[in-house]
Amino acid sequence: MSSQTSSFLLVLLPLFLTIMSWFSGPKNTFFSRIHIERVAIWGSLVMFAVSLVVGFIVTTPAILDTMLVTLSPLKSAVILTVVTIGIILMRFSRNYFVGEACYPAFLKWMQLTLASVVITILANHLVVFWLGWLAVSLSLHHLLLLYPDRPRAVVAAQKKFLLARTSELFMAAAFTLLYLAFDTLYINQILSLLEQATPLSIYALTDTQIQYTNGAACCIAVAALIKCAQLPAHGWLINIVEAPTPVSALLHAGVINLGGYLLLAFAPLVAMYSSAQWILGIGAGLSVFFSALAMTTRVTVKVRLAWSTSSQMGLMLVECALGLYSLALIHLVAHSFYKAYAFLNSGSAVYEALENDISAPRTPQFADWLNALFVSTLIVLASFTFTNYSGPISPWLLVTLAFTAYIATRTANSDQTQLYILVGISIVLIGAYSTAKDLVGQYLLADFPATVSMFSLIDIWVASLIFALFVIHIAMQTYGDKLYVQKFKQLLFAGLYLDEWFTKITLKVSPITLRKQVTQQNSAASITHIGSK
Amino acid sequence: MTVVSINTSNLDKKRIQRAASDACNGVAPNFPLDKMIAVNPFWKLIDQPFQDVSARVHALTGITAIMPASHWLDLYKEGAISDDAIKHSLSLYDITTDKDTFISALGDERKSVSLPLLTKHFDRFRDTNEMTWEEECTFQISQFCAAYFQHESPLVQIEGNSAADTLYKSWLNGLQHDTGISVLMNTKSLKAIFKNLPDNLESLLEVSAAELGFEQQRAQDYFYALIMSLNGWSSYIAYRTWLTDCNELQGLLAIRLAWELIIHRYYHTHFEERAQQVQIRWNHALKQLPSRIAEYKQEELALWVMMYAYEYEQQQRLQSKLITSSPVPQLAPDVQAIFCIDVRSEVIRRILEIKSPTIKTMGFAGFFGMPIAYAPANTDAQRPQLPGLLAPQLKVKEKDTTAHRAELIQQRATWHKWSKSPLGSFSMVESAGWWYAFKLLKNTLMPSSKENPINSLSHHCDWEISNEKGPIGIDDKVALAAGALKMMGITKFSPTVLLVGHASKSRNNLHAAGLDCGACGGQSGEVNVRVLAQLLNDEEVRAALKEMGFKLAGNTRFVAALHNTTTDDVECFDNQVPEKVKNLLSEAKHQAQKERAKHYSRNLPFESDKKRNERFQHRASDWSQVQPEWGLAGNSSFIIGPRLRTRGLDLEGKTFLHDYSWQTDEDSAVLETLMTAPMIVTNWINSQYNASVSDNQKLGSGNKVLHNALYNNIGVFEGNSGDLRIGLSKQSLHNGERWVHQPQRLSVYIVAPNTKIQQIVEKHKMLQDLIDNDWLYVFSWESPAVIERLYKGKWYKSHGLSM
Repeated sequence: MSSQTSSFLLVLLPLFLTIMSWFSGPKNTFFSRIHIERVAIWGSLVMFAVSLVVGFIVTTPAILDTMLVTLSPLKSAVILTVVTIGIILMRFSRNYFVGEACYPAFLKWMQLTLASVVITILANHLVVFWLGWLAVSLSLHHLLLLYPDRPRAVVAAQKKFLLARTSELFMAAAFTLLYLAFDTLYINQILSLLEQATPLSIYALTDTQIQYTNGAACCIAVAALIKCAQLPAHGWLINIVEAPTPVSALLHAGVINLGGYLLLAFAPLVAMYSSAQWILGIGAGLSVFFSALAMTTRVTVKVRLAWSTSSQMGLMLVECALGLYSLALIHLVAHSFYKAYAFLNSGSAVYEALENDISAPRTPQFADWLNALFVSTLIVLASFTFTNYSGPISPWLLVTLAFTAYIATRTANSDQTQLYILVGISIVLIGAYSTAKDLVGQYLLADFPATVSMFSLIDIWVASLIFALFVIHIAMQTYGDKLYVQKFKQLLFAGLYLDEWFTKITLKVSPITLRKQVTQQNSAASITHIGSK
Repeated sequence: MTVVSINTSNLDKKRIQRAASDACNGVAPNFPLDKMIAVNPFWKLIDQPFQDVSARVHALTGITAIMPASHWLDLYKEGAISDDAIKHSLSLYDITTDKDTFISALGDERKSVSLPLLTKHFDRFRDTNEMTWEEECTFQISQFCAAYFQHESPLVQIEGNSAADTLYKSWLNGLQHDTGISVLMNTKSLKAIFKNLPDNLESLLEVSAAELGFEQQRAQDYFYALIMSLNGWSSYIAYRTWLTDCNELQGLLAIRLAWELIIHRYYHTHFEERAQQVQIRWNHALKQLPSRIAEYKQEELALWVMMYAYEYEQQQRLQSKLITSSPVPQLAPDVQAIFCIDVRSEVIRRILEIKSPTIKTMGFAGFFGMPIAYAPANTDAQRPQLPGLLAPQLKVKEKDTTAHRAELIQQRATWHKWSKSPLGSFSMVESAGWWYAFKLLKNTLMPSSKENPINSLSHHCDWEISNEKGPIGIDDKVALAAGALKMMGITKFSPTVLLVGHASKSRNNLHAAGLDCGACGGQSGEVNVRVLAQLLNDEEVRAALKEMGFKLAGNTRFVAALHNTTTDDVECFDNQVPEKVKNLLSEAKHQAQKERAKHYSRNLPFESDKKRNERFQHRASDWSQVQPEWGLAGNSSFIIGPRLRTRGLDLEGKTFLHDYSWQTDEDSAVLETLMTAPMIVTNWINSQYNASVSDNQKLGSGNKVLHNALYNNIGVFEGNSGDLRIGLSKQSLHNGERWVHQPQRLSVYIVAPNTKIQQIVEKHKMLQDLIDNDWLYVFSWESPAVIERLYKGKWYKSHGLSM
């Protein structure tokens, strides 16, 4: 099998999508009679399959050291996720956008976004990587402005625009430093040089190399934080619910987690420097904490999903900081599918609300919590022992507390016989969790750096954040009628007022026209306009 | 400012309060997503002529209640309006211009409206790269309301002395803790202004009246303009207080008024000159309101002429059909099928009648006269199953059921809840997130339908009916059954009587309830037909009914059935249905699908039955489908009379049909009920469709692809900004090329003597308002060849004997 062949062939996929996108544009009438998205979907599938099969059969004679694109298990996993979701979204949008004038534009920029994502992931050259990264956010920008007459959508897109440029600057800085340190633009060469250095000790590098790479690691950490919408750069992600549902789904499931991919791709670099790890640990850690709490105060379905993305991405970054790369990859992929589903399915909110109405939940009592804690601790300890785990303690703390909450709420609401089923579910899920983690670690991310050690400082920091999150969330539920809790909730509901500052700065730094100078257009007239095309 | 408020006399205070409550009484309710039924958005204004309301509402709120000239011109060019109709309309409106001059003078663009709101006036000082006051104030109030009306609100609630006061105080408390607004608006600090706002509703009304200095006789208009600038939330609060006596809406008025005061004070403190300038302009605008309204009325006149011409044309076409065509014959029926009056039943009823001369179909309000609420056993849920005009009197639940299904739903709810909790969401994703890849693929490749969780509990044959005292006895059961039969006007029964409720089937659709049975409160009619069938099959009840004179033979069986309006399947909930009936229903389904298919695609009518059926089923279960069916689009008339007159006549699925026979209704009691209940419901439906088309921004819910649901089924936002959205979405009305529903007012045809109709109209002011203020048309059709229109107490010949 040759991953090189596959990677070369896979370049055809973004090429194909780009060509298709050209035909999809609103001005083109050549293909307007046939279902362009059908061609795009089948074409992508075929191309994807062919690349892998041919790669499996054909072997290239020699492994070239300098290639623009490469393929690795990590890359295939991420590409597979993004392309699958992209295809599902295109299929979904065919009916969803019926009668919408912006559909051709949607299709065009959607395909270009997908193409850029694939290129970025395949890239083995810093410049290609950077350009791909740039293309992703530029084409996404058009998707956010499918309805340019909505002022809040315009503001959101503008915020995103500024932040994307900032993160690209950080990336550019990081890549320049890497080039200066190692005198090569090929990512695999850089990484192998770094990997050679790490086992011996960091001092196998020269002093300048250390300085440069340290700077690069920090820059990459910051770029990832911005890309993943961590506080206080989260506002655009929340405002982006102004865009159509499939665009939100693409963003939350396929694009935002590129920040995580960036860290995975440069894992050896980030693992070398605790300064980069701490940037991630603090920035993303606090985001996990506040976004997760703020999420509970949201009142609309999509906004809640957006806050959830911010906290989920935070956790993924924290996992990268802790060196839990397999967990981070699982998180990236699983979260993509979950979020895509949640957005597309957001029209089912009424039925979900009715499900809740069918039985008013009861709050768990202290005894419920204690029982639940006992059971879930047992399950986690068992899993802990079976897998001979050594590494940071915080992810296991998270699992224990999360399942405690699950078991406690369920036992409060049903009779005792249900408990066995419940414990069964918990065992299956926790088992799946640790098995998946090990499998991914063994087969996909085999030669990745080791995790930080148990009870290291950063581990304790993350563990205490998780514990605080657990306690505060319970307190918010139990003492909901107390004034200080209500005040805290109100503050969370306001998103700590972080985004207002950000919006103000955005409007100051790059003033944009939110509406026509003379707003004489009657809004009622504009909709009847669609009819007479 | 204290000096001013001392000067405010007690009388003034009363007047302002009066104006506030009058303004608030002008708002019609909007029902939440899970009970979404149609309401006439101008229902509280029907005591004024529609033309006046339209002009006034346009001046005060920017709402357009009538379609623009381009729309009418398009219809004219298509031939949907004849020259004669326009001439007729012109003469009716006393316009002497000849038809051609009139048509060529129809201007397209209407002048823009400048609303009499201070916020709007101060917005002229905002840069194009800054948020406007109007946007920010709408956003702030809207977000506040969205949070305030949650079951578990994230906001601090401050108790006041009334519902309105509580609303205002809680809002004020939130605002005073807000530090974001001035940052976002890029203004000097607003903190002091927020702090000095009056701390209760009453003094706010007083202080603003004094300080803003508007004339008292303009107060009501001004207040109306204020609440209607948030007409989504106003309508939602009007729903909360619907059928109760509560002033909560005044709280919203106070909040919006407070914003006017905030901006007024802000400019007075920092930019005195601008403030003065605006003050003068605004006062002038308020003074000018009556002449503005008159101006709009004049401007809209031509549109009303065209609207009337269109309606006249359509009426004439229908009427000549009604008078000339001969209904298909009816033999002695072996099957009676009673459907809901819904326009969607018309298609399948006609097909059944054409296919079989021995089936008799009838129309009756889809809740079948059961004034019930459904409270599923073993749950805390309860939902009304009757028209929104009425309050339920009885509760029904399934007898002898296990808790299994309810518990399953509850477990699913717990899982969802956990997967959305802070820690749960993380562990759920890492351990079970893979599962969603499968779900994504399944929904894309093999979609399956998903049922409303409460409906899924209702497939049950044995029901317990109870009032507040407990299960009802035999006498009450008999009375309930007899009442329903009497309203239906049936005394003779064939061996099989189908009671056909209806429901729609769609996936991932926030507005699904809007496609369900409106007479059942926006729910599936299944519970109602099941309960009635059970009552009428009960031997004890039947014995009593026979004594009362109903000719119930021993072999007559009542069969509960459900018409799926998306796929035209009719499912019978009884295993003793004759095979013949089943086959008939299945044939009728294919025929009905074929007829509807032309609304979906050009090729669909020509596909094979099997393939077409698959496409319809797919439509009902596809999660990406935004147009599962066209609902009641096209509705335009309502015929109250014996079906024999229209049997088998092609009414194109645009007509509500209610059976009625005046000969057996000696005291007119039945007709009175029909005219004050089903006729109102049909007016609400018709008005909702009309309004959602004429102003999809303010009275319709806009674009589905942007919809974002609020929790607890309150409603939807477009994205996360702006007002709560009410009414129907663009996708429910527009197929990408044209409106599927052409706005026209409902024409009601009643087969009864003129005097009978007129007596009832004279008894009810509501009916006079509706008819004489041009909200709908009422015609009598007593003799098969004569149709007359009732208008302002007189009868005018509309059609007939002129051939």
